[in-house]
Amino acid sequence: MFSNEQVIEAARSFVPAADETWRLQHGEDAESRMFREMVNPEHTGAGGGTRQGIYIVAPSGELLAAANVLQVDKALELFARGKAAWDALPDSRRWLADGAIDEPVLRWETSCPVDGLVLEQFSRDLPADGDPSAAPQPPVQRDHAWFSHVEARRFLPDDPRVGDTHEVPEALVARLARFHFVDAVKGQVQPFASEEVSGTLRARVVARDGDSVDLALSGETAGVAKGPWLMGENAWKWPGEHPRAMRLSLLGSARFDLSTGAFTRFDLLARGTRHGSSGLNGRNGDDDEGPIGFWLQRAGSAPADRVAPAFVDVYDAEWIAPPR
Amino acid sequence: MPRKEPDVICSFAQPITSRARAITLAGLVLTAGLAQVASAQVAQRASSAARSEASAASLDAWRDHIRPCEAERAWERIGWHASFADGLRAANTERRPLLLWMMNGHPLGCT
Repeated sequence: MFSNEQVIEAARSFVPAADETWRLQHGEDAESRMFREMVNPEHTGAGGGTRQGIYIVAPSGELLAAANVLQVDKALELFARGKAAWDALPDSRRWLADGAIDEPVLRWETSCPVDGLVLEQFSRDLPADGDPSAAPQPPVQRDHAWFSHVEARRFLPDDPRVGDTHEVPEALVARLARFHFVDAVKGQVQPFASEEVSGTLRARVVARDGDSVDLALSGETAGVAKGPWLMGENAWKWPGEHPRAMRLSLLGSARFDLSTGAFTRFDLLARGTRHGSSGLNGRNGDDDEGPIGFWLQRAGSAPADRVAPAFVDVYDAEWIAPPR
Repeated sequence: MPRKEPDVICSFAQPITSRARAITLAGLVLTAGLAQVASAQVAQRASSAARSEASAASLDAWRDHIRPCEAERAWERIGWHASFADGLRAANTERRPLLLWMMNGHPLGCT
């Protein structure tokens, strides 16, 4: 809906922001309290109990209009209603009070490893005939994968020499297999438990020019969930059993700068098959095996590139601090 | 996780590009006029080059297939702030109302 040209144009009347609901619905910081005061109790229908939706808000925090809509015409109507309410709002009720949201907040994004490896990940169903020149099937899904500065260095040997082949530590491969190589193309899915994945990723040194090291990446991963939930009590637990599997071959290339200890390029293709569904991921009973692909590359530096991985709350990384 | 011995770089079927085919063909032509050992080395190099070319071509093709096209990334032109608080501050500075998009799971990430 936000890719529609009319919506993009209409959005220019506003300052746009996006956020996830859970922290704002449960946090004790000023920002979260302001959000709850804004949407409760005179909530106008955006998202039911979860508060998902689109809100038009004065900088003061006063709610102008809200709806949980995905249709272009309804979004445009909402924008118009919000703009009219803004135009009618007295100046005395428009602006953010001094110090209202100044207290520091620890978000998941605070832990974003900007000096490590931040990957932008895309996933999509692939054509059955295996022809990449075929028209891509929508939708495409996006996520981010995080590796700390120390973890990024572990993708290559201590003293890389041309011809060396390095096994990337299994914990780092498992992070990809458990939290990123999952079938979220059409909707939310659960991660794999550690005992449900296997795999290997090899980094072969193909060139070195001083501190610049070129790597060829290859490997394979598998995630096989027989059905029962194995990850204890957390937000991802979902009623019922959901057998599913993901089997992928990995191929890619990367360049690492030894002087900065960081990748300057990282491209990884994961291609293979998925089957099964999760109850939430939009497969709607389509449990048959189908081709799926993932592409991971270094993320940019826009705010959207710093958004945390979907499964950050159960990520296997002690350097990530939970929000408070 | 169980480990496997290192394998070849390209572990799934790859289409062979025309340039890769040419390299392979060149390798075959050369072997006709060279000693057996030398010809084997040339063939091996040509084969390796062909495999490398094919891998790179396949990687590029699948990258372009999987990554969102321009139309699928149009929503990024809106220039989203990534939090409610950042949006409020910016809206206050720019003297405009805030358009806030809220979802279970960050809308700018995986939802």
